[in-house]
Amino acid sequence: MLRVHAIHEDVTFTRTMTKAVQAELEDLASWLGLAAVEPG
Amino acid sequence: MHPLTKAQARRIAVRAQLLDAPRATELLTVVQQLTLLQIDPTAAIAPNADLVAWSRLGPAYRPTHLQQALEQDRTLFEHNALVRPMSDLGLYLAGAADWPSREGTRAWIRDNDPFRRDILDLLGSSGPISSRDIPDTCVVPWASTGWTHNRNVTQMLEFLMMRGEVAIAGRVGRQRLWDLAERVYPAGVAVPSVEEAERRKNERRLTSLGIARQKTTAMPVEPAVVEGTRGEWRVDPAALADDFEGRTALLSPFDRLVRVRVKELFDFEYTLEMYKPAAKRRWGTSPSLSSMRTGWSESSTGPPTARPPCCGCTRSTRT
Repeated sequence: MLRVHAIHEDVTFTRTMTKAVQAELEDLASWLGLAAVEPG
Repeated sequence: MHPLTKAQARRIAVRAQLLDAPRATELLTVVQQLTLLQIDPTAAIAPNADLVAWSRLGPAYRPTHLQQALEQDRTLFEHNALVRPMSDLGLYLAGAADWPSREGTRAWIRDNDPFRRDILDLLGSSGPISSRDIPDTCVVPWASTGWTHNRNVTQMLEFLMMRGEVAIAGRVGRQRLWDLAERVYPAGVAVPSVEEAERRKNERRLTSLGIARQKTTAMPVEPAVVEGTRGEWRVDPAALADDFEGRTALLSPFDRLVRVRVKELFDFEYTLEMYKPAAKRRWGTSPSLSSMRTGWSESSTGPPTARPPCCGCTRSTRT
């Protein structure tokens, strides 16, 4: 799995920003052939 | 003189690094624009070269594409821990026969000439082979206070690579396979003069960065000033177009966009500390990924500029 230990937000993320970063993490996990993105 | 806002300078940098919305579709196009992919053994998520390519090309990119380009197609070559386009090879062979300029290294190579010839003979008869398959017949051991101390075979191979005598033919896992340069590099490569090579390398560097501090006097002269920063910059005139569409992108910690100019242009302090002793680390760890919200610089509802937050990620096997 792709384990996300922490996400540092330089400014407080809006909902759209959170979704965009999450979508990128899911794309990365999929590309790596990993099953899921999970918090560490 | 081009007066630029910080947002304009950021867009130029993002676009030059192929991180705006329109994605490149070919690995070779990406490496030709970026001029290099850095090879680094640190791979908490994936090797840096693969992450940089994925950030630009998206899921269509596969690490086998890089291997194919390096080992079969020979459209890319590995040199000094960097992957470069073969079309740039001549720039790195310019002056290679006179390398190195440092007298201590020259003397070591000269004193170990029989060792050098042993390696070239073995590669000629048995290459490509890994450094582990090359006997250490050095006369004078390589002395260093660092991790290269007494690593005679790999040091000689690295030096012969810089001199254009040997080349990296491929890899098995992390092990490099070495061969005679003439069997890896194409014949008839045009090698410019050292001065011309430096001029073209500086030009290529500026194109890949879009905007940069002047590194040498040979850098192309298109001066710019960026609001909120001191002194002059150099900007690639081809990168000044106004149209820009951003996107969110996860970046490797070694990505050039966050390693070069990030503090001045993005107001973001970014430090890699994995190679520092634990006691000397300021932040304690390093991000394994950075997310550039390049699209927000265009958004009236989002933050006014693109600035990178960091993600700490690892990959692990589910238990």
